[in-house]
Amino acid sequence: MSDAERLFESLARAIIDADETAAVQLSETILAKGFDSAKAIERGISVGMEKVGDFFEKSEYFIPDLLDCAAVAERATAILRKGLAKEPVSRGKIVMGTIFGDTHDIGKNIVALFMEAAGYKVLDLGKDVSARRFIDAAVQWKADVLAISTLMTTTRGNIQNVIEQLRLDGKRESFLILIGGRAVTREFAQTIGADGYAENAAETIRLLDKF
Amino acid sequence: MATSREIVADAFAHKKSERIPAGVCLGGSWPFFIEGVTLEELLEQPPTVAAAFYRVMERVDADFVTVGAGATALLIEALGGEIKFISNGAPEISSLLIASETDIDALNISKALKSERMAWLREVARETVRLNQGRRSIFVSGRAPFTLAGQLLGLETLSKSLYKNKALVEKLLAFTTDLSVAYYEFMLEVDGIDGIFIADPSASGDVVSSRHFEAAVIPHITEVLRRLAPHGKLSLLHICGDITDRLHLLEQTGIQMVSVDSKVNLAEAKRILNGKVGLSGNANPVFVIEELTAAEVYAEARKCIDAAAFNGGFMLLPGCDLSAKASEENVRAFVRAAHEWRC
Repeated sequence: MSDAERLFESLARAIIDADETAAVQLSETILAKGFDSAKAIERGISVGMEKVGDFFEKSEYFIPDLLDCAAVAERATAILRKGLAKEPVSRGKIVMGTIFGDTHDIGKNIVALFMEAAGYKVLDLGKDVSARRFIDAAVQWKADVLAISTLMTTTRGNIQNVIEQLRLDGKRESFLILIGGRAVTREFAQTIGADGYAENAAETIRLLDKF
Repeated sequence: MATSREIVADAFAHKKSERIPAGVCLGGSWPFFIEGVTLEELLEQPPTVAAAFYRVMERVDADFVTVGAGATALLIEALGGEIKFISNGAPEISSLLIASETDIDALNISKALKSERMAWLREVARETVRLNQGRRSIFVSGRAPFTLAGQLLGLETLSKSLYKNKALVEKLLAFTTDLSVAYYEFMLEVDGIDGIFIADPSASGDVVSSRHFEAAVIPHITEVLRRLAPHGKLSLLHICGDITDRLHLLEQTGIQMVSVDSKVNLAEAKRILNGKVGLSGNANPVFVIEELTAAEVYAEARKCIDAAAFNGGFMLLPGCDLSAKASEENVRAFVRAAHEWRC
């Protein structure tokens, strides 16, 4: 294993352990030694966050752990970005938000952090987002994916409004629709004509990678 | 024949009685949907609110009735927070009251409890008790310290602070423990309340680890119950998510019964609680009570009863708050399953 690979692996470990001091030191070392920052992000930060997602799926990590690890990943990414000759090619552009009528956004925020760590560009519209806002943002930003979440059973029907409005606008085929959140299921996604459903952040990334 | 109230009391005392008690509302919005009214419309009219709520409880024949459910944001408003009334659920908190430790010092519980909103809430409780005339079991609904902390600070910041700002978390939880106790004592001034219902959705098994649950949730629920013990009321705790791995911690809190989410296997929960703490639950409010037929809801409710009602100490409840779209017919079928089951 090369010195660079060893550093990337240690960086992944620092992300998994939410060890901010180590992550900062490793990122600065990678920069100082002139190693490839893009590879460090991909093989250190993305790999680390992927493992964090696995731990969440196995109930070894919980929401505070995800947030803690994601904060370290953000810090390390900010350092490594200084070493990028140009912005890395995005793996895809995602417009996301919590659906109209719902203000629960902690899950959506975590998924956004994972998407960014995995190399996707994310435009987070926040919470209580109307169908029109989703669609306008996706069109203007030339998004590939619309990712919509809801925790509340009372608002999940509003996700269908986005899909119907896209059809009315003749733009349904322009975007993949991914849904998630406690109030929705795989079956619900199929019923309303969404393209995919993910139960958590790790599954979201796996699904996006397949799209 | 025993009254609903007696049946509930028997379940909390782990006594076998002629049937299983049932409740339907962990939150408070569903009866208003069914009645076609909103909480906002009814503010300033305690008798109308109580009547609308209680009328639905009578129609579905619930043994267990909560007051104050769906209105917990009013306590945050009374502390100085901003809330927003929404058409599809309970009022929501629209701005956070706390950003740092010093903000906690500015909050005044005594003043909050003297607010018009809190007087209104207590008047609703009083009117509910009057309408009830001792027939059903009335519980005051409120929030546990951890969930109150999330309402004041934001759940995301609270989650981060569990690692990064333990001093803030400790100070905030000490405050919300005082707030929770003061709220229940304020509401228990109404004669005829049978118990306290403590909801702790943010302490969900899907949100915090067993380790954080033990450190940041259990001690504060224990303290609330210790300080309320002189009132001699029944106590029920609801926590969302899969809490199977931490059910064994609940006995030490002094809680009499725990209401579990539909993610929890009731038979396994019954085994873990081992008769030390009562159990209630746990049909899924959406995928069962909303989406199935009344006959299927009845069958699913019977599965819950079959899994956990043996040896007493069980109450049939939904696994979480009812969906606005749950039909009254389905909810009636749910309750009927408990009432037709014979011990």
